[in-house]
Amino acid sequence: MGWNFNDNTPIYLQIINGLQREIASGAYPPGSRLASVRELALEAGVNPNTMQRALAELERQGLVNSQRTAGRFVTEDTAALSALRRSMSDEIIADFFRSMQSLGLSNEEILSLVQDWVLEHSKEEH
Amino acid sequence: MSMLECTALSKNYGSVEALRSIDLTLESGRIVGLVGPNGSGKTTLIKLAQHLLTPTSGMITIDGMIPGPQTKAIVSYLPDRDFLPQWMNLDELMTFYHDFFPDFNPAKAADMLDTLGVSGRQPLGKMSKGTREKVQLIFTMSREAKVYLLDEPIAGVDPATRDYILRTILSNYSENALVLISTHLITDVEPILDEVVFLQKGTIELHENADALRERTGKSIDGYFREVYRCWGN
Amino acid sequence: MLGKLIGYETKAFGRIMVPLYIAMLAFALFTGLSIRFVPEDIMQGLPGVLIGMLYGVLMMAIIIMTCVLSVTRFYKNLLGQEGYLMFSLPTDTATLIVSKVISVLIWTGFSTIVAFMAIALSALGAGGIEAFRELLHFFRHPEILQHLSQISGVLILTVLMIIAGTAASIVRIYAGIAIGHQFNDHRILFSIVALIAFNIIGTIWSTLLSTFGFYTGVFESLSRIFEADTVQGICIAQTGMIGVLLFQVALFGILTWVLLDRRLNLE
Repeated sequence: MGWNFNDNTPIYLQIINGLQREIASGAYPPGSRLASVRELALEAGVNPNTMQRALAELERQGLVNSQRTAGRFVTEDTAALSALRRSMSDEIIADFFRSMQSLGLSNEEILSLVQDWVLEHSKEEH
Repeated sequence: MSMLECTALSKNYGSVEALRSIDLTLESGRIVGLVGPNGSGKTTLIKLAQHLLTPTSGMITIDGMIPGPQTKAIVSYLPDRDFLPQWMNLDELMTFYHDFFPDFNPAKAADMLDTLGVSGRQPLGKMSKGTREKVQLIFTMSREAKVYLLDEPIAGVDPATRDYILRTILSNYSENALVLISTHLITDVEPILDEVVFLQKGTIELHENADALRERTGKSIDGYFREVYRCWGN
Repeated sequence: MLGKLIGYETKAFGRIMVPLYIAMLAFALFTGLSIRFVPEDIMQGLPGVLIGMLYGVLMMAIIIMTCVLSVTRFYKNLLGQEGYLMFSLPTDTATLIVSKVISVLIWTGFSTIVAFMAIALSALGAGGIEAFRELLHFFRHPEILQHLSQISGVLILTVLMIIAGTAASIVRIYAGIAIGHQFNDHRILFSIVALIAFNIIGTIWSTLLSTFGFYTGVFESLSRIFEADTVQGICIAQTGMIGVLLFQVALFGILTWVLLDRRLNLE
């Protein structure tokens, strides 16, 4: 049911991550209205209180605004959105580098491999 | 606000101690998992809350009242067996619930039964076991109750039915209600819990916020209990 | 709540009893008509025997089903799996028990009325409207009317006695079942044992009472009241009997209530 959660982190943290990804990718576009807590909870298959807690955290991070009567909206603050994208991509890059380094590659080697890979695949695309 | 409260609650069956001096306070607006191995006292606790059993000693209250007609009016109870009259059809059951439970919402029940695709003329006894279980859950969740006592709602069901059941619980319990779900299958209910109460041999081993427990132990609730079970030798 | 519970019991009883009633009444009329129109030599043969047997079977079915339902509606509905629903209704245990007893009284009454109606219908079928008129005529006779009015008190008390007696025996059975239900296995067996025990205790008790009455002379003075053989004497005796029966209803009722409210042991 709903999202898949891994075992060893609190569920509300996993929900926060999930929602951040949706916002960063534009699946929830800037300025769009989010579903109600109950609907979101149902979609994710989690307790509404947990969803509430995750949304409160997103509000605190400035990614979501709550308007008392109208509901919750994804922020239109482009600076906040790009900061989010930046921090998320930083995490992915860090992960990537950690994996590559574990193969015994140096940062320079990794970078040149990345360059090669991009060149090769951009050819395919055209 | 505290909705269910046990004070030094004990229940013996003859010489068997099913519950040993339990102290427990559950707040409204929470979904609480009552977990523990078979025979740990889960069903006994739920039956005490519904006055199907009387305490040997100690006290249990619901919304400040000793279980009785007034508490039954605000408690919606799903036992772990076929409890609806099998000769009744769904239309008759609707009338029955409407007659006896002032908080029953017939429109909600009709809507869910419709989605389930069962006809009103069909007697309960003629339905498949799976459908019957869903129907029972629908009637239970169609009451706008203050407390839901759900005894093993997902025992022995296939994954699709389990999803249906959890979804039905999540989307229908009235806001600010206390939902108490007893189960020995922790994994399946883990994402929907606020709190978990762990019973073992008639005593409460643990009562904690579900996410806090995961954060503290770095494990899923299920994983944590598996480990603890082993320590206790079950 | 009591009214709703009785209404629901009515549904449960009616589902089984009403078709039986209809069959009985229809067959009673058919029997009467066959006695009247089918030549006697045929009616004295196999067809007549079959009709008579079926008549008896239907009558027995009504009596047996009334008794069976009176017991099973209590046993299965309150102490079986459905008990989980019934004891979750926002009402108290006493109301549940009272609703069962009243329903049994109502349906015993219905069954009795149907039995009489069946006899009347077959007589009407056999004798035609004439027979009925004669019967009515008989009751209109001034002397009969006078007699009836003289003993009306006795008649009413007799009816009340039958009702109280039915209530006492059904509540006694309920108490027996409630005791059997305290055990985890062989519940029916223990219920029967409890009922036998009630009988033994009842016999001992009445023997003690009568011995006491005999030696203290209470009986003698009591019998002097009845010796007059007046209607009044009978009425006093009947009222006494009703009192005893109501006491039994209360005694077994309270026993049932305590066991169901304080020591419920659903399967």
